[in-house]
Amino acid sequence: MDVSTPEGVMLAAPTPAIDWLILTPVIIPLITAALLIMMRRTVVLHPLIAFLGLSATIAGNSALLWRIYTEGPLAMTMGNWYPPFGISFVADYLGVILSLTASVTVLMIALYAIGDSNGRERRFGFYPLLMTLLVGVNGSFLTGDIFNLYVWFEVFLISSFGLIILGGQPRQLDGAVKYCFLNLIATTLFLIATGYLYGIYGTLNMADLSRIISGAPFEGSLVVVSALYLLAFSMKAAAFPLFFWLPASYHTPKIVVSALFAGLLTKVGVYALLRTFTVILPPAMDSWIMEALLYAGIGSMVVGALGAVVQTDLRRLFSFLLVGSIGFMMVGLSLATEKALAATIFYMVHSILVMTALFLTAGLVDRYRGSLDLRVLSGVSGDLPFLSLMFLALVFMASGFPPFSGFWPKLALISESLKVASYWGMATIIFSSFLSLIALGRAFAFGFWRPLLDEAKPLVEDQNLKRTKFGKLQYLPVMALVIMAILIGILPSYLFELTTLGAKLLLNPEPYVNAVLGGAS
Amino acid sequence: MENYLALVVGLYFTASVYLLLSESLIRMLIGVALLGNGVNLLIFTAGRITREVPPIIPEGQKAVGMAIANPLPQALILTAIVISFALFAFVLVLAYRSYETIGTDDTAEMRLAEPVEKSQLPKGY
Repeated sequence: MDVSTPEGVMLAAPTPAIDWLILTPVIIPLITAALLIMMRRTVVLHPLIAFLGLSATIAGNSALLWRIYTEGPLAMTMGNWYPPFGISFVADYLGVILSLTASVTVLMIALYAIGDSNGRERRFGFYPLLMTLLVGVNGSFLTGDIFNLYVWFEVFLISSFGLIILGGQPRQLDGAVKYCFLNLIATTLFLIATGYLYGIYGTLNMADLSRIISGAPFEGSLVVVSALYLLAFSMKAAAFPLFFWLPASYHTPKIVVSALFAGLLTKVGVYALLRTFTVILPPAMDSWIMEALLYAGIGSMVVGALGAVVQTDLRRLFSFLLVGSIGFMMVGLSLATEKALAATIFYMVHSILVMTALFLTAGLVDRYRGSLDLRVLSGVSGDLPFLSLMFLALVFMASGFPPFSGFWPKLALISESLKVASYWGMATIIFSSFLSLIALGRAFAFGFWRPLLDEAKPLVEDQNLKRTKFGKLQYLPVMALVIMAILIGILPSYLFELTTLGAKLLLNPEPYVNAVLGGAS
Repeated sequence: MENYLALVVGLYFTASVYLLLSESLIRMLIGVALLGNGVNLLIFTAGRITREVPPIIPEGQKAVGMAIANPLPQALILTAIVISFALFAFVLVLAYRSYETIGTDDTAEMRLAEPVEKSQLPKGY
């Protein structure tokens, strides 16, 4: 192995103290998780510690965002090794925006779970698993090394395994078997592709790969690696035709866990697609990979919308909507223009907030009604007008009504599709949004607007006896998520400014590469 | 040498795909285990097989000046082995628990989460 660093030096200059900021989104939740595990006998304190840890994570994340906004992308290589040798962490707009959103979402989930998790679930590690899941997700968003990305994938995967079976109902075990096997195979495919990539280029550093591969012709082994990555990440993102595990499992665990998964996990798959096919493998942008992404996106939108229309279980309806929303992001990536990528990142932020809020709303409805079956569910708006109002706002957001957050990225995607003459993508975006509106509108009309059915009354009374004292507190996180989504809907220009900077960095990764490799020379 | 190992990796993948396509959970478990081992061998092969000295930097120098064995694939495989071991252990227990609870290890009969219903839609839908 030849060592091709200046003068054979393998150690770089030490990282300035302020740049250690880049580790906060990973290290703080990790420490919090360790603390929570040590305190497993005093589960009463778990929510408080998680709250403090998550607040610190969000503070670190915000500082990081401010820092890259003022000074450009930031990189740090562990152990002061000269970059391709050590594992790098890189903070660019895409990663930091998503990791900030993820941390905020997990904070909301942790608050919601105060009234939703009993002592038994806490002793089995609900809060520690929540934190390690965030560690994995944030690590995926911030790492600059593709093998390290695999490791973070496994970190959040094993945490999600623990969360999905929490409670141990037979239905849950059935869903978990499908979820675990398919996700395990997807990450193994990811590892296979990474092994090939290492065999071909001899490096795993994303910036280094980007430098070596950009300008290379898209042929031979590069095609094989790209196809494997496409397969593995599409499977993680639950895109058509590899989405079957999602509607088979996301309605089985506790609702707060469903909300967490719906918000974060599939988005990590989309993030990996975004990162791989722009920064790491730039030649893929002018190849059939983009067409494959377009058709997978169109398929996801159609299947997601049609699936949502025929479902009667509220959570399965949302699961199909989630598959549909992945389609929008894939179409955005396939267009590969600056505006389309900016819209895709915007849509990811919107989708994380709205999907989590939808599932949490379903959790509240379930608490008051005892069922999420639209054949029985009825009369929610009479008893809980405020909750119904929030749900209605979420319906408009998820289906993309003008003043709300879903509208702006869809508008940008449609106008970009027109520009590059991709009419099928554009037509499907409109068609799928319309069907989502029908599905969600019907859920509102049946579950919320319709007067309480006679057969539902005993269920409701039974449920009223079982309710815990934290009922009102659980409105808070849902409200916060809805307010955040409304704000980015009313004032989209701020977020669009950030996501446009992120998209620029994806299409022209030179500052990204320089931040990693240039800093040390 | 790499070519022979590539063939062995291919054999591993073939066997594991065959087993994963089965409906029985036990066979799928073995398939997952084989897949994991195949990948480890693949990374090992991708790092090239050479007969060289270990990569130890001589005292007083800052880099190795000679040809050395590539240490990275070993680090990668070690990580991958630990991870796949942990996940496999989890899936093993999960499969056993679900066999105990649901009473079958046939994936085609595991329909608790997605029951087959005759009429799905409510009146007036």
